[in-house]
Amino acid sequence: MNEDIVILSIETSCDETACSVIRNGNEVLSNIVVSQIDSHKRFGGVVPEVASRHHVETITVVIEEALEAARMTPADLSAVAVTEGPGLIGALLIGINAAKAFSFAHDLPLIPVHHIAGHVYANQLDEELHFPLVALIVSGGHTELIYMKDHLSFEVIGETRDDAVGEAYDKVARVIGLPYPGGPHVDRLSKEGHDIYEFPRAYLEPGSYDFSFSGVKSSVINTLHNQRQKGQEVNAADVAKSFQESVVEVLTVKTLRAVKDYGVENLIVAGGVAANSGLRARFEEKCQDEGIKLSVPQLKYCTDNAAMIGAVAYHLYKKGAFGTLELNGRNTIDIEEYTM
Amino acid sequence: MITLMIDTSNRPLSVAINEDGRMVAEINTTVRKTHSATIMVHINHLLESSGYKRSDINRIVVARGPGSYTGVRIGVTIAKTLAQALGVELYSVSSLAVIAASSGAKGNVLPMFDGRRGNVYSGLYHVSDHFEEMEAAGYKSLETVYEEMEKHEKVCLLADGSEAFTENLPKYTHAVPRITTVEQYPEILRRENIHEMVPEYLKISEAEKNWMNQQQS
Repeated sequence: MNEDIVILSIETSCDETACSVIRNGNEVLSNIVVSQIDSHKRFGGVVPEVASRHHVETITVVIEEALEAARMTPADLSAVAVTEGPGLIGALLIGINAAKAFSFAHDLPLIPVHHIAGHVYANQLDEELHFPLVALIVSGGHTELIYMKDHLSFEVIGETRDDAVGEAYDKVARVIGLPYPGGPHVDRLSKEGHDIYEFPRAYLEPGSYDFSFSGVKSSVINTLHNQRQKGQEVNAADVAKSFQESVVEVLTVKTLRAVKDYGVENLIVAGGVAANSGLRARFEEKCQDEGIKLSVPQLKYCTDNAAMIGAVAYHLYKKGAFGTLELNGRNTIDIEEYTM
Repeated sequence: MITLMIDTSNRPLSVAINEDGRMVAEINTTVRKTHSATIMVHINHLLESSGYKRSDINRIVVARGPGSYTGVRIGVTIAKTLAQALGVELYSVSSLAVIAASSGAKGNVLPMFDGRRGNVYSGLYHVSDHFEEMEAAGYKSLETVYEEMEKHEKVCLLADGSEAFTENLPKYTHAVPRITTVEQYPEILRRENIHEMVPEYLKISEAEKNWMNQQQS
């Protein structure tokens, strides 16, 4: 007998309160995302306490909407999945406690999911994953390069040693006077500029797949500061373009080297920064040249959402990887712990 | 009527099941443990040991704050989600009123929690066979609290003696929550809309305070 696996998933690791109902790991029946971005804009970044307050305001609403939009009742569900971490601890705790209460009330298994695994599996919502693969996850909170030889097999081969790439974008946006969140604005403005500054590219020691973005960020800040002190006019578009070139070059060169070194033919680029047009275009061009199959999830599955959590949970469900009522949030979790 | 009651607003944790206002089972802890990891385990244990099923629960009462922001949110999130999932009514009670009811003290009582930087969360109640609010709950400086005390006779201070701020308090009575007691005072229970219910922080976040100050200047 081939029974459908229907999972209700919850994601509250940062500033999105999200709930989704998903069938068999790839059929999204509903995908509710309540973004708090308008609230955090006033602070120029996500404020953890404010994020937690918003999550508790909307959590039961998104659960109800996800069920209604999917035309499902709790009796139709096989399990409840939730992001365990990494993320803002106070924010995670809202999703986790709601998931535990929901699973308890309806006597459903509870499935804890790693947020980054969710970003990788977001791709499963568009097409099946092909292994082995390398995944680059780039967002406001994360920059990780992961090697997977099969489902639920995670090996971190590179990660940022300081700022996440999206974080660097936000800071650069701020110094050139662009609103938060800065990524999309810098990306748009960069199209009108030229790489005249040639900001540093941090390749770190030979062979390393790690990243560092604090150097280029400081270089942008210092360059602008010096120019302004000298009374020189700053062309924000040129700054945006030069910064983006530095970031895109390092990300693509390192990722493609990893793809080559690990002998894989499949590359996934996901996370909020995967929406960056400059980054996408460079990856598309290089992957085409080198015969690598590039997969980038649809935009709505690149940014934080709960459907991607349900996509991973499907595989965890099949392995019986269930959590207990003692499940707690963790602000950092090594994704390799999730390998099974 | 079976009521499930939850208070995780501060370091102590209190969960109870009442039947028609009388206590059936309760678990109260004062150890430093993460409520997020223990609360559902305790609720499960309460139901199992009292022989009730989840579907027997008719309503949920939760302490809505003030207190530790994270602590209050854990209780409120669980209460909201359980009430929604079980299709039962949701009620809230001030976490300060929980202390007043739990202490058993009668007359004028002044429960308080540490609010950091010389401030506290407090309210002043007259407790007899019913509950009357004499001074509204709020985030106050200790000076304000002492002024409020002066206005009323024979005020009994209630605080959790394990909290560091009690070192500098005048004579107080050690009190921790036993949420089972609040059904004795139906007037302190407030019916809530499940989706709209939010914790009663009594204080805006630091970020919002700074932002509002900036807007004014």
